[in-house]
Amino acid sequence: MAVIDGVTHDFPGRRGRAVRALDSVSLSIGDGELVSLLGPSGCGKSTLLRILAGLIVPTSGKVSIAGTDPGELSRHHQIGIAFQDHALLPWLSTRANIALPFRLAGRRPDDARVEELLSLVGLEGFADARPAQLSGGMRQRASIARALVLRPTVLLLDEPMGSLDAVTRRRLTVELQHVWLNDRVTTVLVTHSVEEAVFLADRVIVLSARPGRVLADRPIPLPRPRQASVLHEASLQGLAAEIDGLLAADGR
Amino acid sequence: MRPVLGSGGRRVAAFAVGAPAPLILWELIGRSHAFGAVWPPLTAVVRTMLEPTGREVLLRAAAATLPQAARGLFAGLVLGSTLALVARIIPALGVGFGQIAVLAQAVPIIAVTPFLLTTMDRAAIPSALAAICVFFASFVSIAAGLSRAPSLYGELFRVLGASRLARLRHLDVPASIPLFLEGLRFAVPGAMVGAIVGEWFQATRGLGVVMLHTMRSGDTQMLLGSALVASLISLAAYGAVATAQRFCRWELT
Repeated sequence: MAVIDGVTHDFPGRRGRAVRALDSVSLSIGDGELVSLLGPSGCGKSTLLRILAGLIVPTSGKVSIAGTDPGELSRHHQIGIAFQDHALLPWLSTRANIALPFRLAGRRPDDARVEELLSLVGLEGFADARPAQLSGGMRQRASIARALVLRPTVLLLDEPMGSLDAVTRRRLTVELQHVWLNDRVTTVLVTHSVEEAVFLADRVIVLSARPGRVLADRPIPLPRPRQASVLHEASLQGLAAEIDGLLAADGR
Repeated sequence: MRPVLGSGGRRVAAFAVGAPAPLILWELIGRSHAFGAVWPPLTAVVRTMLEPTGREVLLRAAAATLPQAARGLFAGLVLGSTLALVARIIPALGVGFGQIAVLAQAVPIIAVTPFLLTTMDRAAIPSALAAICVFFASFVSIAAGLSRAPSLYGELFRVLGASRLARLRHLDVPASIPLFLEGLRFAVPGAMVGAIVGEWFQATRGLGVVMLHTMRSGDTQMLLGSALVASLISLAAYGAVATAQRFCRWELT
């Protein structure tokens, strides 16, 4: 379980004046739950994810994952992460890129696990290709496979599909659910796509514009696995419209 | 409009025009005696180089200079990469090392030599000078290469719990290879220069020795012949590094 308890974060601004990015955000994420953080750009959703990753220490408030702090969890190689940019190593094959977390943990790669992920993300045929030979969607899939390979306690996804075209993005959204269902790891997904947030999540957390506050916490009661067609169904569209409305009201 | 030649084709064309031009100029100056009768045409130089005596002398000299340059190159690379790695691990030392490297580059090697002559074995002077010539280029290029990975990669490695050593091994060192090779391309001719200049100080064999003797005796054909051999060795090494570069052309974005 991940607990975010009264987290406030200020960035140093001009003339020594601080800019508040997050304002007393509290939420808890259950084990095996996929939570989407949704909000306009600049709402601090990425900042919150970086705090969960241990890359930023919040100005005040506390974060704990599985009873420990993110830095400690990192040192034990228990956090998986994927960014908007794939951040694959260009000199390694797809297979070696996915196996990288094993090497960084000082362990021998578990070949069976690496192969399992390669086929789960549909890259078996590209195991020996370099990132430069892959399409944008393939690179993101490899980067998500890398995040999952060690069966982390928590998976953090920072707009992993943000740089893709609309068609690829939609296909990858459906695939990501399939990949996620294989492990059901506790996941925080940052996105600015309402559809994506609703389709993938067990709960959608809506953050307000700067400073980020929790505007709404909506459970998404759609059964899994959700088919691609769900994206067009009234139930999802209704939820999306409701969240869109919240965001629009906040923007005013 | 599409170019008639692709960029590869254009490079070959430029080389076909550019490379022979100075050689043809050399030949013309030699034949016309534009710079006096002591300037031999290229063809005369090559003929002397290929004669049994000329060939024997130049091959023996090259066989003496090559290991000196190679040893110096190796020593300079080891020193440069070690200091660059230490500077990466302990950034506070990096500034000092950078100044040492700049100093090694700024002081003319001729000025260092008298000091080396009094402190070390004469036979080691050529490789020592070659090492000094190589050190700067290798340190600067490796140090720059090691700190080149964009911050996103650093963050990834941090979240994945990589130790400093693991980060160095799996991120910084491979990321530095393209720049290292770029530096090596310039370090290799430097090693030849250092070794040859080093041989001017009481060495018994080598291309530098041949140059010195032929200069004194006015044998310009052999003098230019030994310079030509040195250039060919540099060019071959340069080509080898350029080939290696084609296989390591990665860019972290």
